Amino acid sequence: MIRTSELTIGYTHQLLTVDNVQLNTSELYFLIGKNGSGKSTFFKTITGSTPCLSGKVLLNKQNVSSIPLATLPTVVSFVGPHFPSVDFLTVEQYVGLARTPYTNQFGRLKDEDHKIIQDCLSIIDIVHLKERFVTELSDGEKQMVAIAKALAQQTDIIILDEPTAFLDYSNKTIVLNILQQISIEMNKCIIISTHDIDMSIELGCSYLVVNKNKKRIQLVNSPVKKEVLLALAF
Amino acid sequence: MTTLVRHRLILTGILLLTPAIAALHLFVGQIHLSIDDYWNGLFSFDKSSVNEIIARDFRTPRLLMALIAGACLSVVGLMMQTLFNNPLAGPYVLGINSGSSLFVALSIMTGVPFFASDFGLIINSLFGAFLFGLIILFFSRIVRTQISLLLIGLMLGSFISAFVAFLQSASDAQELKVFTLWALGSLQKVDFDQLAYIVPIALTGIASTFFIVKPLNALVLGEAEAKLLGINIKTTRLIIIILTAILTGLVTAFCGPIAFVGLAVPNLVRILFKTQQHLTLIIASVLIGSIFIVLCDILIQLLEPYFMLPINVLTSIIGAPMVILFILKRLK
Amino acid sequence: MNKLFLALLPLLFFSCEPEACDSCNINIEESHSIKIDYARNFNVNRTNVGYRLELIDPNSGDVEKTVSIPSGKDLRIISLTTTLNGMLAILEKQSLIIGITDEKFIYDKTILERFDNKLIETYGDATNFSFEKIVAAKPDIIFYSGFGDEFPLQKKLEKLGIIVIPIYDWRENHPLGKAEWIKLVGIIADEEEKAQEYFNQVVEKYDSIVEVVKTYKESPTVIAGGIFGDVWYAPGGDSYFSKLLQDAGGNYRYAKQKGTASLEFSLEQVLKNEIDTKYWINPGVSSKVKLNERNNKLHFLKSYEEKTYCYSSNMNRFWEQSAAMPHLVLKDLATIFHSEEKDTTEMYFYNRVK
Repeated sequence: MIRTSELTIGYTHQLLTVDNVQLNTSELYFLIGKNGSGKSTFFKTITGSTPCLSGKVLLNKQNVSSIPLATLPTVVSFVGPHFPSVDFLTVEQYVGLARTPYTNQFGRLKDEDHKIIQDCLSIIDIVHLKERFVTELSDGEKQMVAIAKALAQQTDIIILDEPTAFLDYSNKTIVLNILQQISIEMNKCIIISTHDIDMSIELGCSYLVVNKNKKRIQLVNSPVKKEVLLALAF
Repeated sequence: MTTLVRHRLILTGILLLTPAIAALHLFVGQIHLSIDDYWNGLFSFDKSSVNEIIARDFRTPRLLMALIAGACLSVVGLMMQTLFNNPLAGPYVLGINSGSSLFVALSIMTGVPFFASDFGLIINSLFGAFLFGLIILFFSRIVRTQISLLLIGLMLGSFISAFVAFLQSASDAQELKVFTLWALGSLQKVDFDQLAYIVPIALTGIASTFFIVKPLNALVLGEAEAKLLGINIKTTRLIIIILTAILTGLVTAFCGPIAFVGLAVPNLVRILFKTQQHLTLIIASVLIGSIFIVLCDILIQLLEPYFMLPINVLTSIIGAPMVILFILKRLK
Repeated sequence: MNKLFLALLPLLFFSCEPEACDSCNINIEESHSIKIDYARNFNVNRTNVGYRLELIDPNSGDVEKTVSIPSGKDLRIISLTTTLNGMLAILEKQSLIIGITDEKFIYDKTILERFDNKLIETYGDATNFSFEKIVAAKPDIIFYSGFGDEFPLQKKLEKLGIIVIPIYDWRENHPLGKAEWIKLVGIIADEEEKAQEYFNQVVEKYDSIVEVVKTYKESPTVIAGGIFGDVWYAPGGDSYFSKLLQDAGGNYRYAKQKGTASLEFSLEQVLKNEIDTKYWINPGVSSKVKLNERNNKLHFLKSYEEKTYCYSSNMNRFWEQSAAMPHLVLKDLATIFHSEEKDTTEMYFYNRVK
């Protein structure tokens, strides 16, 4: 669960204010807004990569700034817009890196970790990709693997920065459906930034909208009309 | 599990190959030595036997130095490639060796006897490597592409060699000779007294790298992602630069600048093992790095009757084309 | 390279001596060709306008270049080799020198005085010099130590009428051949007869020492040269220094090896062959501290403890004088090799490395 309180975000100058919102587990949220409107900064702020300018972000009732760096990844996981292209990294190893916050000094994966990795791969139905190198995956497969990695991190909160950007129509549908399914079945709070408004609206979720006029992020609860979103954000 | 089995098989193979090649190194020189020469030389040394002297004080330290130089430079190359997310990084191309050269040159040219002593040489070499590690780290924070960082490293290298050449033209003949000697590079200069501290320092340095296996594994995804996985990037960077300075500085102080080993070996290892698991990569880099330089030195000894080749010339002759091959392979 | 050079020769002559153009037709007076007894790397012929000098490439034995030297004229000389400075000093013609590499390599007092009086400039060595500075000094001749390559910017210098002469004295295979280069210097300094006389004396002295040495029974094994990097450089079997070692009564192991160029060995090999050798000549440094700096394993050689000698009583003096005074080098070496019969404290060039 995420709560914001009197939050303003930005690097040195204030970029956006954020309404006091509460984002719950078992729910999927979409973040929409113009390019460069501050979506990434918002994500960086709630994942603890960038400090809040003022106010606070609570992740599972804990202030994000007070969570130690080493345990933060057990609370929130983040899937970036760019899938790493690293040679000789197998899907299994890649997903296994999600276990980093749980392993010992030497990063050795225990049987339990291997089981979690296995489970996450089967939830997304990509066990067959296990031995493949990440550089050999199609764009759709890459996104699925990235989601499996986020799952393996076993966090209540999962944040995805434009996961559908490089996908074709059918893959977009698959990815969004899987994410919604995960949020409901595994009790996750998931936030996705996207430009695919038509497609997302079919899922009937709530929206975080970067209001273009007021320079603030506001929550628009479902059911939502496309025209309202467009008017607010674009 | 199959990959794990494969890795273990290859590692076992290399582990068996290393002593075999090391043994070969002991027996390829122009002067034929027997096993007895080594046995007696090491355990019941007879000062009047030429063969025992050569076995004990020439070949054995030379072999040990070759093993250590290969292991240290390769591990350093591996760490730098992972830290900078750049398969073409290495202590030589990023100017770390040049940093050592510069400070060794400065110290020798100043003519202060302390600086020309072993200890002074190491200190300067370490400091130079550390300073240039920090400089390249600083640039890595600014530039965005892998190529830019490599170019900066190469430019640092050229700048320093030009500066060293300037120092050379301004210095006295005697100091010039000492520096030229050092810069020629050699595995043969060390003796047991020096190895008595080179070996422990090198082993400690290499062993320390096992403690950063976890951050290294995560760094493969880039610093931003590693940080999101809870890795303390600043500490990791500092540890890597310090280990780089110690291992590069140590080898460079005693063997002179040795090029391309740190770049070529980790790439070779990655191609051979097809993994990003750094525990495997470190062990394999240590072993294959050692084998690489020992093989180069075997070649040098075999060529001795025809011409004398300094070690860094040979590693460049072999290493540079290898690097071009890697680049071509990546571009395909 | 050589062919190209020969093709350019007519041009060279033309541009070299415009004032003597009515006698462009140079006749070699064969009857006056100057006799060279020992040196192999140059020939001199007298011509109707002066001398014709042939410099021989020591590697191929072919003529590398031919130059005309006008006689009866004070030439301005830039001498980038110390040997030539020494020979000019012996002929008391230091006044011709207008340029040297560096004053710190100079022994001769007259040359140093002239340097102090700003009559001589320094030009650095062939790898590092200023073309314009040389041109501005208007030299007639540049001497440099020949290494088989042309002097940098040689063609441009020659277009300006500057004669560039490679000195291959160090590639001679007899010490007297090396000394005989004083004849070439004599011709250039217009002291042909004086050089001839000096050389005849040297031959006489040298031969008399050789005769004395022949009476000694001992012929100790000796090594020569030293280590640089991982390579031990020793004088070639046909080199003048190999000859000196033998004439001084030493038994030089590599005397039978062909060639005047340095031999290269690994230290292992040297140790294997020479561990019991007592005499070590010319390690290149004057003290054991410096020797250890070069390589910390030299102490395994018996000669390191026993008898290591280097030309270190005065390095500059050695480099300036030894070429023209091989008899003194020979005498020193003979003294070292037969220390039971001779007093080693009375040596001219050599010192014990301590």
